[in-house]
Amino acid sequence: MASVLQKLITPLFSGTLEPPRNKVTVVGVGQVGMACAVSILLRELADELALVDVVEDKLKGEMMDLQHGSLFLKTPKIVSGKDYSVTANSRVVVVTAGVRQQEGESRLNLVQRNVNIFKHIIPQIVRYSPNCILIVVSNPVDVLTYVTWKLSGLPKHRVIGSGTNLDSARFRYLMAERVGIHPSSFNGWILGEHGDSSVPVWSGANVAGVNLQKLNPDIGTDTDKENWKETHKKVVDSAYEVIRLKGYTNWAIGLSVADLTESLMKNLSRVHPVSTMVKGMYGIGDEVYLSLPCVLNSAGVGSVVNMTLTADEISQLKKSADMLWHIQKDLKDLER
Amino acid sequence: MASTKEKLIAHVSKEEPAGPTNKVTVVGVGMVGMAAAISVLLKDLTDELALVDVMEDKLKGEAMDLQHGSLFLKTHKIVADKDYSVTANSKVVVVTAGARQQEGESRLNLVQRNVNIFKFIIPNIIKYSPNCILLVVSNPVDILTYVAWKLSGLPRNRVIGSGTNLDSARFRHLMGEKLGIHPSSCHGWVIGEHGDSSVPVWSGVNVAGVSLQGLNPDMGTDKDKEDWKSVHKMVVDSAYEVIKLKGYTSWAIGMSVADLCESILKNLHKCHPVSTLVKGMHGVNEEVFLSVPCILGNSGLTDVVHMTLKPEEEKQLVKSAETLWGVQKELTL
Repeated sequence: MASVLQKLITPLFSGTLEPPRNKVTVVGVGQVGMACAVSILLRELADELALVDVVEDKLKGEMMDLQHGSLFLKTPKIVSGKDYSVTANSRVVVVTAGVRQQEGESRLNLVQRNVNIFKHIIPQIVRYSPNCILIVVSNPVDVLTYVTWKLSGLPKHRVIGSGTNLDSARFRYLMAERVGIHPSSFNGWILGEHGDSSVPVWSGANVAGVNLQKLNPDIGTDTDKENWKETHKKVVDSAYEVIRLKGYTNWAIGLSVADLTESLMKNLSRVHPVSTMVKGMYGIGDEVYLSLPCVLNSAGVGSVVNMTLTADEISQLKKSADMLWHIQKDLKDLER
Repeated sequence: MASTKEKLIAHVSKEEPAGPTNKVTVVGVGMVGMAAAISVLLKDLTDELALVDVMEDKLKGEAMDLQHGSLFLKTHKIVADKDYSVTANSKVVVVTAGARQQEGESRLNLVQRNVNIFKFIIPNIIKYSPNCILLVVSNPVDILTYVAWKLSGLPRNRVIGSGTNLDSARFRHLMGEKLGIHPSSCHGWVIGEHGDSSVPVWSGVNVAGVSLQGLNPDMGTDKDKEDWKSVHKMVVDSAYEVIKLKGYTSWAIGMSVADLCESILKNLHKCHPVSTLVKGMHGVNEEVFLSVPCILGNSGLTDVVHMTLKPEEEKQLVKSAETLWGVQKELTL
């Protein structure tokens, strides 16, 4: 006796269905991972979303909660599992797994704890999605992007750290508020380390091409009467402050990751400040990841924009590079 | 000496900038409130978002986190305060405040705790946005929508409960999984109480106008070999199951709230199963709110679609109404 399905529907095509073309995996279903997942879903960037974590109940619950919203979404398949086979054929894999900063803790403290987790995660991701682009979000992001690159064996242009994409977004928001315009109309770049020693490139800050440093040569210095330097300090303090107030940050980082994912999935060749392998640039001799303006397309980091930096800005980048290398050189078992 | 801003920008307009035209307020910045907020923001529905709560640090942190994402959004003003003055001139106010179900707890258990919270919240909302449309999400939603209506003094077209919008979305998702079709092409309405005694209207379940019950007359009964009845049971159990697994539900309800806000703010006149005053319909005699298909636009809930229900289905609605009235009449408002 024919079922409702058989009476209702006459199949026309009986071959195997095409694999997903725009699959995104999010590793880690904590607050950051889920904010990335929801932002990617609501921006309609993926035709399949996979979630992975070790906490099985939480993972299943989050997957179900997203699936229950599928009426309102254009991502027809949402899967999850502890086993990485659910992540197969992903174009972009967002890694948010790991422990997060406690109140007052710096990002660099988290290193070894997170390296150990990555040793388990990264090889599995690459096994099931050997052609993917990895976006590393977990902190300290620059070190962990390096670790990911080493553990994955992928070419460097396919391993990206979310880096200062968020710092720059915060900077543009705060600067734009001071000037009374939308953040997207304020152009400003923060580069280097995602964290306490990030570098605001004051020489590039502009609105409609009008360079703010030309209007105010003291901008960013301690002699500046308008104290614009304070705005960069607020960016550095942002994460600590939000963590102090609500326990963690998630919405802004989630939105910024979706923004990067969009450039990668749609081959946009937009320029984003993200963490990339900078050895050989600006006199940096070590294999470290720092944020520079990168052109992102469907291959990953297509190219890097050569920023004109002042001597002081270059020396800040070098100092960050030295500090990161100092931490990285002691990490064990990173070779694949 | 001119500041950098003065050198950069010459002010042109002599007029005061106009106020917000599509302002949305979310009361309560818990998991549901924030899921609703991020869904509304990502759907570009509003030019101003206000958040209110009693927990000041959490509130400020959530607002900052959203503001830091402004570069990626089209909502230029995101404000938050304990004081309701930030909510002034809202078009839609989403109320998610209140206690939530613990594991295994039914929605009706939450009533009195949430009524007391509403006695503070609702008058404050109305004070600053007398022309708003109230969208109540807190559970038990049907009772609390009644409470909000009584406390606000608003006409019944401007007090809406999120009701079975979510139950129906879950039903359509599960139906879609069973048939291999996207939920938006699977039509099915779950009405009545948002909760354990919601009513799946089997006679209306269809794909492309083809009635599934027409193909399978046993659908929804215990005799049905394909056990479609369990699809509805899974809908009822959904919330309990997600709560058991992750502690609460947020994403689906957040997206369904944004869906309702969209119809209201864009004056879509779309039909949604939401909770409204059903006295006089389907044999219900009490002043209770239950979900039926309603037309939503910028005046709020302007029309109700009269479903052709079977006698058993109407009996279920009447029974829900009696249960709800049994609880409501004991409340001090």
